[in-house]
Parts: sequence; structure tokens; C-alpha cells
Amino acid sequence: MNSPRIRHNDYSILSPPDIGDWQPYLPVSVVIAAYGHQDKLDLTLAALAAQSYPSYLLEVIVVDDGTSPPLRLPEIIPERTRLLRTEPGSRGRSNARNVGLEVVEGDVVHWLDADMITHHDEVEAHMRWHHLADYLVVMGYVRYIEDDWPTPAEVHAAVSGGNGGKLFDVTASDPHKWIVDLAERTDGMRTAKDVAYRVHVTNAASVNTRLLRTAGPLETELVLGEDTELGYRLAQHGAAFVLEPDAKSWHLGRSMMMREGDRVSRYNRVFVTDRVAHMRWVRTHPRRQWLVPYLEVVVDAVGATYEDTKATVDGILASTLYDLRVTIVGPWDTLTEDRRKPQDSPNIDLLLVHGLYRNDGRVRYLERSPRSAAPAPYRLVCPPGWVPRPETLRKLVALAAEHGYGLINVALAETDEVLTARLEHTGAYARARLVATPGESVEDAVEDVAGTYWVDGATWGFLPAADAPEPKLSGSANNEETTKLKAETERLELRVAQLTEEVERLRAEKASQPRRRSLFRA
Amino acid sequence: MISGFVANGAKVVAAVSGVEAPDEVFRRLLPDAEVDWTDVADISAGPWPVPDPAAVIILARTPTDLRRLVPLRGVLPLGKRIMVVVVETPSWHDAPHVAMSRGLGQRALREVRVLRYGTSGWVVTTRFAKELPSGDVAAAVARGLTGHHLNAYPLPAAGLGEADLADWRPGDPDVTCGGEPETSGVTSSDLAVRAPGAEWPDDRIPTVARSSWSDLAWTTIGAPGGYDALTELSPDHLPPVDERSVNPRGFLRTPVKGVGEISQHDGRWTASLDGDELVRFPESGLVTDTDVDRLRKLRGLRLTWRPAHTGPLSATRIVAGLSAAGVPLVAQDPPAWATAALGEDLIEHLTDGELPADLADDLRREERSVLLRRCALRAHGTTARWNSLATAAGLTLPSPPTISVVLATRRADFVRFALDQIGRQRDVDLEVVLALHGVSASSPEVAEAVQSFDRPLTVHEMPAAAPFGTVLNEAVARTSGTCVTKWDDDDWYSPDHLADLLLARAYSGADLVGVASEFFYLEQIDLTIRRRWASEMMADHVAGGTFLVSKETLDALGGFRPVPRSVDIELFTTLLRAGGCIYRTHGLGFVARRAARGRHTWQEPVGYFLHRAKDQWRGFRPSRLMEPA
Repeated sequence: MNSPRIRHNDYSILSPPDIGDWQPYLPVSVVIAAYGHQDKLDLTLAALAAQSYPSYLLEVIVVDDGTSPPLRLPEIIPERTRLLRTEPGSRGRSNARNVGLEVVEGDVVHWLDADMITHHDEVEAHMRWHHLADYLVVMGYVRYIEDDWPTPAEVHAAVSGGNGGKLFDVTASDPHKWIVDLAERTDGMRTAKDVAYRVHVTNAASVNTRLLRTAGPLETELVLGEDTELGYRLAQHGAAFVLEPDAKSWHLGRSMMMREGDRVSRYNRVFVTDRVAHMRWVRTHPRRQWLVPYLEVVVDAVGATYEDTKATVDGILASTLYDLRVTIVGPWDTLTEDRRKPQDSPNIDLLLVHGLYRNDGRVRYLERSPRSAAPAPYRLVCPPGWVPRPETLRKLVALAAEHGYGLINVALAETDEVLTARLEHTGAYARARLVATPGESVEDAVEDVAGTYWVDGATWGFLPAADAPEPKLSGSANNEETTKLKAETERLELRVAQLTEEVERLRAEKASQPRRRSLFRA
Repeated sequence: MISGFVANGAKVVAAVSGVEAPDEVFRRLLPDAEVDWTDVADISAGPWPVPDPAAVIILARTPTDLRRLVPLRGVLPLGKRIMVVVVETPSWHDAPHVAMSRGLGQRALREVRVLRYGTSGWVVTTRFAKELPSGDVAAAVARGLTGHHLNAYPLPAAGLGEADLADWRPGDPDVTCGGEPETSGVTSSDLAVRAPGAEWPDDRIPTVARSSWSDLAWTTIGAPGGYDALTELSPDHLPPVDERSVNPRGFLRTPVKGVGEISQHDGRWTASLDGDELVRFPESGLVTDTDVDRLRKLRGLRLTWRPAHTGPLSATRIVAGLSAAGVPLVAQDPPAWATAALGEDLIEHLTDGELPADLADDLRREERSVLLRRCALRAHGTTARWNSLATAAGLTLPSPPTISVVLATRRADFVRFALDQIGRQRDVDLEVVLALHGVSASSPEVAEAVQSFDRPLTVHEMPAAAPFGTVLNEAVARTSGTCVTKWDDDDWYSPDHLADLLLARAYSGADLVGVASEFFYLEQIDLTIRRRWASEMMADHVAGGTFLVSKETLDALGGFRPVPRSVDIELFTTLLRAGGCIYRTHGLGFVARRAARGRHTWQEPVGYFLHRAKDQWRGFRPSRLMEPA
């Protein structure tokens, strides 16, 4: 498979072939979770049976999530259609989709709802993208209609003839409004950067299967917003999100979001926000903790003194970016304490570190650092003995977010080598690993897919432990900031006064020489 | 109003250059005097209309306009009271002073006043004990505005057929105007420019006939037989750019305004931005330094060739002038006459590039500017033009300055790298003095590198204990060039590095020139950064591994101080305190290598460079002018 290097979410480098003018070879599995509504399912399957995508590459898996009487496969269905049922006790939409995901054989999974009528080239439109890169999520354009349904035979005939668009009155239908709006603002998601994940909507999205298996499955604890949450995790595993306006389908009836938007949002704000760290517009509280932190900080305590590790971790925990978690890495499982004279234990520094934070909810101890920080979107690797100031991490992550940097190297000190702290963007690293050629450094690939940047540690507020002040009540940091801002305001006020005076002077001068300009060859 | 200069009702004569409504200036300065003025285009060799004037005024719109009057020294009136007015000066200009020659006029000087005129102009009034040529005062003020200590060109002595041709030799007071033969056996000039068909009585002097812009206006060309003039156009037909006033000085690396347009309205070329007129060029197509200053804020300028009713000379002269000033100019689809008059090289740079992306990126824009100015100064500068005319006339030219490159190194393994960089220098005549600082000339790396170097090279061994300043002085003592330049063994230089330094020296007139230390390659972290230094300006320092200074100046300063380091800064300070000046040209052709500190404990840490970096790029990423091998 090709591995073109999409930068951020700008998929402009991909040039899909025209529909009907290419030779597909990747198998796709359409996964449909259904509960009740046999009549709508019949129409969905009838439209799938009329796709332009080759039938030998198209598999359909219908998962009946406990309908009584059970759903059955109707007369008009694609050649390769399977019907599965969820077990009592493990029900729910997410679970049903996960059951389907377990058995798919295609290279791409195409989520579809059981009340969708696809146009004849809907699958093909999705698949022409997946042939270009192996880390894509493709979202189609859905229109919602409230109307009398045609019969399966009518649907099949219309879709087969390429007339799926004429089944209903477009003017009487509603677009998937927020996606259309978002597309408008972001050049079809090309400039959407870190919010592109939102278009993973399981009524009409398709995902590379390998990527989906790495990032997934759907979180069954979430009853709503589970697709958004999986989209977020896909992004942390390197996914790029493509909007395909030519992948068209009809949704029979309006969505739950349309019918009960406010109440769905109210639910999602609680349960989805906990897991999706990029929802910064909801996570505005200065001191809250969430299940998935915005920033994961890794401090490797091996070989460091207790004092150095403590200074670093204390500094990080005093950060005004509160939405973080610290992972301290060390051989915790094999530490032994001398029960008589514990102060003489071997590895006493590690023992002390282990004791110091064990009841702090934002600190965890791991034997080794995981390869990826997923699902946390940012990871800072900070050497012990270096302490960020309270504002440092907030500003550093903001810098990364603003420019979309995949890596910010912070130069701390140097001998022959330069000692650094590193801020990594989880999604950029994941994608870099996907596209890196054998022998290529991951950082070179990160440079391509997101950009890398160097900053000076001293300028950005990293101090050696010996110079770092003890963290204090955050008020003191604020006071410091206030004092600084007050001084700045005073300076600017003075400058404004000076400039105003200058302007007055120039005006007066100008008034005294009314015709000066006309004198010269301008 | 200037009080006490002349009595009420006094009769005053004035020579005017570039000012459209001089009466209003005179009314403002000397409201009670009776001023009789003549424009530079109408000055003749005959007597001035006012006999025995009370004072003489030299009125110029810009320093460039003042320099147009300097070659007319011989035909400007005499006076005891002489006033020089420059209505506007570019922002980089300092206050003027009167720098007359000792032995000529300085002894007779009794009073000087320097006053501000408007927001950027100057008035200089002088009173002498006896009558002096007002042209001498004009020349003295003009000289005081540049870095050049002498108002001279290393060129054949020039003659001009009439005052209207003054633009051919701006700023040079040693010009004979009018072709009257000298009675002595020595001719008044070596080479002269005259109007076509005009008389030139002294047939011992070779002459070149040149039409003024108005003779080559389209109306004339359209007349029967006029088209021939167009087909014969070459760069030598354009009046040269006065590179000592119209040059890259004041270039802005990060412009604050957008891309403007140059187009032609009512017979005048006009530069505008979003419909606002910025500069209205005179019909002759003369570009002045204050016009350039007004355009510095622009990201670029797009020129539309048609309609070009002013004729080919005005249009191409503007392009040559702006290009020489490094204004990022774009002029697509040039007509054949433009290519003929400007030369194919310049046209290629004007039409080259991926636009508008190349203008939108600050670095690409500056690269374009450097390529344009280099090409235009070499093809259309006053020195270049007269060199070309003299060559065509079969005259012998003074040789260009030769450069001695002083390369001191403690590292045998860098000799090859450094000599490779020197070996690829273009368009300069150079020699190398290789000072081996505690390194043996017989070490294989050195011997091999020296062996394969095909330009003049002197090797000199110095003991490791000798201070760096001493090593340099010993090396300089073994040079034979006009200029000496210092070379770092581990830095990267563009193939035009030395040629660009000579060019900057020629247009700035500075005693020492060097480049801005902008690009650094941070070897440990494989990163190229660019610092925020402003360039193309008089400055107090330049990159240590790049400066070029005449041997004579270096000798006058006593060479380098015999200290182990900071020899460059010490030299700069000594020079500035002695009244010399330093010019910092663009830094696109130089990348300093910043390796692990190792022994160099005085080196700044890597964070120092990161903090000061305006731009950074992963890997070794010099400008395109570096032409990496």
C-alpha cells in the first residue's frame, strides 16, 4: 500500500481517480448494526445490492442487536451478505458494531446505519480514497428525508440505474448540517487539524480496517457519541479524515441529533468529554481531571536522585495546565525495601519517589514508557532535574497546537550532545510510524506529516532543579503574572502618550505647510 | 525662512535638479530675495543670466538629484554665499556636512550652517572669504552623504557634451562639460558622451553619441527612420544607475505592505499600492534614493510594460534603477526593446520564479532581490557602464581590486573544506594566505588540499602558542592584494560571496564591509536557523568570518590586536573610533557552523541561537544563493 505523507489533515496531495474510471482491488466490508425496522433494512440492503463497486469485493455484515422477532435477510441483498446476532447481556449499538468488526474480512470497514439508502456509487466513492492511503477515514454526505418509502424492488431498480438521487425530493431533505458547515470553514476538513476526528460518524463513514483494529473497537460504555470518541482515538493512531461529497446516501427519517440535539449534547458533554481531550471548549475548568488527560508527561526516574525527580514532578504538577497526568518510569515491581533500616535500602531514591506520589490521582508508575501516549494527544518527555515554570507547559502545548507541530524539542543543556525535553503530538508520531520507510528516522517522517520545532529551554521557563523555586499556591504565579502585565501596561501607556504627542506635533507641522506635497516630483 | 543669508531684494541665482516647483521652495527659504533659477536640463556653458549674484543656491529634490549636479561643477556659478538645499533624503541618511578639499576651498570657509528642511530635507548655508565655484560646495555636500572618502571613480576621466547628459556621470566632479579643446597638450578627458549630431571640437578625445530619453520617445521613434534607434538599443544606451546613491541600502527583510504596481499614466511611470500613488517617476525615468525609500515597505512591485508611451529609455531606466536598489520587481512578458536595453540576464531574473509564492516568502523574496541587484549593478551601474564604453573605445582600464583571503586554522582536516569554498569563488581575482596555527604544512590533509588548489596560495606556519591576532597579522603581512578578507575554516560561503562584498564596497563606500551573521547551522541538532539581523546598512559589526577591508586601511589601524580572540570586534571598534564606517550587506551567502562546544567554552549555548532564531529549518538549509554542491 502507498504511504503518501498527508500533513496535518491536508489531504490535497491525494488525487482520487474519477468514479467509473478506475480498477479497484481492495475488498470492503459494510457493517450494519440493526435493531427492529425490517422494512428500512430491506431498503438499505436493496441499495447495497445495486452498487457500482464489484460485488466480489463487497461483503455486507448485518448485526441484529436483539430484535424480536429476529431480523431476517430479505430477497434483494448483495451476493455476500451475512446476518449475525448479538448475545443477550452484551447488547447495545457499539457492541453490535464491534461484533461485526470482529469478523470482517475486507481491508476497509464501511459503517452504515440500517436505515440508509446509498446511491449506486457510494461505496466506490469511499473506496477510491482508500486505495490511495492506508490510514484514512472517509465520510460521505448524507441527506435526511421524512417521506413514504418506496419498495425494495423500486430502490434496487432506481439505484441500479444510477438514479438513487431521484428517489426523493432533494429540496425536501436536510443535509448533515454541522458537517457541511465544518467543511465550509475548513476547506473540506483540509485545514481542520485536530478537530477533523469529528467526522467519524458511523452512519456513513469508512475506515481502514488495520487502523480500526489498532485504535478500536468502539467504547461500549458510551451509548451516544461513541463514534466521535472512536474518531478521536483513530486520530491518535494517525488517521487522516477525508470528506467525500460524492459518497451520497439518503437517511430514512431524521437523526436523533436532529430530533433531540440539545438533550444528546447534554449527555455527550458529560460522557464524551471525559474521553476526548481535544474538546478544549468543554474542558475549560482550571482544576478538573478527566479520564483521558490532554498532556501525558513522562519522567524516567532511573538513575536520577530523588530530589531531581521530585523537583521535576512537583513542577509539572504545579503547572497551570492542570489537565495532565505524570507517568514516572522505573523498576517499581522489583524494588525492595530494607525493613530495618529503610533509609539504607538499595535504590532508596526510587523507593522515595515511589512513596511520594502513590496517592496522587494524577501520577502513575510504569515499568517502561509506552510507545504511544494514545489516547492522550500530547506527551512531554522531561528529564528529571529540569523544572518547568507554572505557565511553561500551557504555553508550550499552545505553541504546538497553533502550528500543528508534531514535535517540539526543548534544548535544556549541552555537552557534546544536546539534552532535551520533547513534546510529541501523539497522532503525528503514529502517522509518522505508519509512513516511515525502513531505516528512516521517525522524526524525519514527523517533520513531513506535522513539522518539528526547536525552542530554547531557558526562554521557555525550564530551570535546573537547583534554581527552581518550590511550587507555591498558584496565586503567587498569578501575582507574578499580574505584576508583569501591570508593568507592561504602564510601558505601553507611556508609549501611547509619546506617540500621541508625536502625531499632534506632525499634524501641527503639516498644517503649517499646507502645500508642501505639491512642490516636488513625488 | 533662512535669515541673514542675503539682504532683502538681493538677486540670487539657483541651479535646480528634480524639483518641479522651485519658486515655492525659494519663497519659503528666502521670501525677500529675487531668485533666478535654471533647471539642470537647461543649464548651458554660457554665462549665467544674473551678473554678480548675492548668493548661489543649489536646489535638489533628493541626494541623487544633488549628485546629478556634481559633474556640472565647471558650469555652475561662482559665489561667496552658497546654499545647498536637499528637499528630502532617504531614512538611512545621516545629517550632511561640508567636506571640502583642503587646499581648494576649506581654507576660505567662514561659516557653515546645517538646518533641517521639512521632515527629511536639509539646508546647508556657507559663506566664504572669496568667490568659489558653487559646484565645489555641491560636491562637498554630496560627498558628506556617502561612505566614500573621495568623490572619484577608478575610471577614465569623463567629458560630457552638454549639461543635459549629467546623468551619465553622477557624483563625479572631475568631469569636463562642453567640448572646448584644452590649449595645453593634455586633453580635458579620456572619453566623452555627447548628444547625437552635436559638435565636439576636440577630436583627440573618443566620443560616444547618446540620445536623451525625449529623443527616444515613441513619438520620435514612430517618425520615419526613427525605428532604427530602437533596433540598435543595448544596455550601453541607458544612462547608468548612480550606484552610490541608488543601491540596496535600506532593504527591508520583512516588508509591512503588499505588492504594488508600476504602470504608466499620462506619460509618467507611477508606482502605486492599492490605488494609492507612492512614487511618480520623472519623465526621464530617473530613480532616486528617496523614491527607493518610499518603496522599501512593499513586498514587491509588478511592472506592466504596456502602454509605454514614454519610450523605451524611461521604462527600462526605471527597471534598471529599481533592480539595482534590490526592489523585488516582477516584469513578465517583456517586449523586445526591453530585453535589448536591459540585457537578457536581468530580464531572466525579472521574469523568473514561482509567483506570487516567491514574493510571499520572505527568504525567497530576498533571494530574488539579491539576484536582481547583483545583475543590475553589474550591468547598469556607473562603473559598469563606463567600463563598457571605455572597452569599446579601446581605452585601458584600471584593474579591479584584488583580494587576499586570509585563512587561519588550527585544524588540518578543515583545510580541504575551506579551500574548496574559496576555490569556487566567481568573478574575483584572489590569492590565499593559509596560516597554519600549530598545524604542520606537511600533514597529509594539508599537503593534499594545498596541492589540489589551483589559485595562488601562500602557506605560513605559526606556532600553536601564538595569539590569534598575531597569526592574522603575520598572514596579512604576506598578502599582495588591494583588499584583505578573513575566512573561517568551517563555515559555508556562496560562490558569489567575495564578488558581493566587492559590490557592497563599491556602492556603500564603507571602509570595511561584511555580511550579516544570519544563518547558522547547529550541527549537534541538525538544524539551520536564521537570526533577525537587519542588513544593507551602516553598522557597528559584521560576521567575523566575512569582512573585507583594504590593506591600506588595515595597516592604518595597526592590523589586528595580538590577542587570542575577539580580534574582529576589536578591529571594528578601532575602525569606528578612527572615524571609519562599516557596511553590512546581505547574509544569504554565508552560513556559520556551530558545532559541539568542545574546547570552545566561550561559545554561546545552542539555546542562545534558538532563542534568537526568526526562522528555523530541519537539516542543512542554506539560501538558494549558496548553491550547495
